[in-house]
Amino acid sequence: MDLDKYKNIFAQESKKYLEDLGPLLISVEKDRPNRQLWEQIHGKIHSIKGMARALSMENISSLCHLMEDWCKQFQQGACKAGKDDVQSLFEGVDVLAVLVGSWGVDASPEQKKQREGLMARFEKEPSQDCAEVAIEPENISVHSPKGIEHVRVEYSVIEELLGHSQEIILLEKSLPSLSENQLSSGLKSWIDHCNSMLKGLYLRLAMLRLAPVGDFAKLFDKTIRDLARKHGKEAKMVVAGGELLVDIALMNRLKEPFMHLMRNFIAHGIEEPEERSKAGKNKEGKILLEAERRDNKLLLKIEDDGRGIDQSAVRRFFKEKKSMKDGEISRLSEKELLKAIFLPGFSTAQEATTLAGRGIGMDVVVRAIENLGGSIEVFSAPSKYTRFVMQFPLFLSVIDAFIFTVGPYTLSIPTTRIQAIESVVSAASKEKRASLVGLKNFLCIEQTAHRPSHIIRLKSPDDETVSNSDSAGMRFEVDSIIGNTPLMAMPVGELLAKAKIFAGVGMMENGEISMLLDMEKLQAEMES
Amino acid sequence: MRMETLVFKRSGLCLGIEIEYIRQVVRDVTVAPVPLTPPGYAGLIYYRGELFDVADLGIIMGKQHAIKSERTLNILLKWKQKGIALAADEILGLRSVEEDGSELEGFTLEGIQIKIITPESVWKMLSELPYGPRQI
Repeated sequence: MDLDKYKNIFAQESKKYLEDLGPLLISVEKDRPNRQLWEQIHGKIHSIKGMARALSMENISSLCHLMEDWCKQFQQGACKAGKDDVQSLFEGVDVLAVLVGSWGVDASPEQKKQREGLMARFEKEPSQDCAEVAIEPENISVHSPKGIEHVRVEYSVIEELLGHSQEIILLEKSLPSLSENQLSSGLKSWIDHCNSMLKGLYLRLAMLRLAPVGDFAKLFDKTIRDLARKHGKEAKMVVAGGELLVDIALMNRLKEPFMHLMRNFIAHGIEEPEERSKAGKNKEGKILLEAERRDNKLLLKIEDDGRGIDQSAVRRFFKEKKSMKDGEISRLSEKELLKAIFLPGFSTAQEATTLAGRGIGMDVVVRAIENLGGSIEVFSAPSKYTRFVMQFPLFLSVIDAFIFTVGPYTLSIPTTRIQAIESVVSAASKEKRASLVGLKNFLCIEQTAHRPSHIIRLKSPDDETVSNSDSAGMRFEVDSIIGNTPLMAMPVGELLAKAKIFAGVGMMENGEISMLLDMEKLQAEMES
Repeated sequence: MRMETLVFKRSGLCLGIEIEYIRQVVRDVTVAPVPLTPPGYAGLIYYRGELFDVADLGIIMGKQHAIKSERTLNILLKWKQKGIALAADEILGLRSVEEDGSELEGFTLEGIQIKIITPESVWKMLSELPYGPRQI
């Protein structure tokens, strides 16, 4: 037997079960008598135990066994789980995660001590509510198993598949030239069909690199729960627009900045349960993550429903740390005041004076977001919320785009931005031509090189609704129209970001590149 | 320690790059031209899910007669998570050079002077070019 292969399968499967256990324990913590949840928790721990036993990973299998015993009691209703019992199971999951990573071996004496302490705890009876509870068989529901709906795929496998499919597409270019006699129309149409199928396959494979924002949010469920517990608070995350698909690479790079925001929300924003009750709020604080795609940008809003930013603390910061006079501070707008939380020194002042509010290390968050080509704004209302609005250029995502050529360049804009396309002939009146934006001049394209065929009229950026007015949005000439097609958008790199007019790099189904224009930036640059 | 270099030709220049950085040498891959970029920036290549900025060292290093061609030979490099492609006319071969010797700057191969370049130096050259409106 290939033991290494089996060990890798064990690690992969166990990690999945451990990931599932986090949200299940969070749910059961709020609904401790729920036997169905206990049944699921029991099942996952049992699966890890089975695999660990087969691989003689004694430390993992015996810890699982003890945890399973508790779960069985809660599942059968023989004993009601107490809050501390759920906490012990959370700790058990954490220890298991470390053990799985080290193939069942204690990585350090401290880890060994922690594992043994936990096992000693599980060897005892659960802490609370252990009175006999009658089992009511009619309450035990039996579910038929669901079919397999999802499979887990290593990110590197997707990359390999993409690579292979691209190579197959490129085979077209090495097709030897055949004469008309050799190449029958039937064969030609068959080759064309194969090509089009391959290109479609490629685009769909590329879409595997996207994941819903909701999955990203789930990563923080346990962190929020643990942080809230640490601060004697209650909090949960709610997601809107969780189905929006976003590049996994972007989400991975947002993990740390989001951790920072969560820490600040819970440590400084969300009030203690008693304070919230007195203020007429739900005891449990809410962190809302909203994802939205607007034009060629990804918008992420994250807010708490806590006490808001303490503006008097911000004023003190300006006075004490920035040596500003009262008059100067009073002239600052609310927006300018709030922006202070992004300044590097702000966190130190907060910690040193233990002021209420937020801002610890927010400069780090800003830097991380700017490194991704994004921006962040803060809004806050006392006793109501603190909201961060982040905008990112399009990372990997699939959008509907209108593709055209201007001179030697293939360019595109999101279809949602287009109001109308006219042929140059039909829009040939002098007034209409006079109002055209000189895109070719701006892009330094020789006027004589290509003749324009169409005029693209954009919607006004302020009003996305269709307007019949000619002056609604920018109008410019293009040389040819390629069409309206799905485009996989990738981020522009460091060099092309300097050109200041691109929102992303678009990949067409045929694997060719079309530069995605950021029309707002383009217009601003043309007017400046 | 010796270092393996790939020697190639571009616009009459002979250049060598350490093979450790080379991801692939590709032919017949389309280079997409990008507006508002300087002449030494030849465009973008999309290869196996990654984007590569194409440097035309012939132009950057002052050989004005370099020809921008849509289909050419490109050496794809990966360096610090950046994708860089070097436009090339011809691959001359592999050459092993002393890592810490005088050959690090350049060496002679069959009477031809070869200049050693690194992804870092190429990136620096590309970064120092002017991009954007009113720069081109």
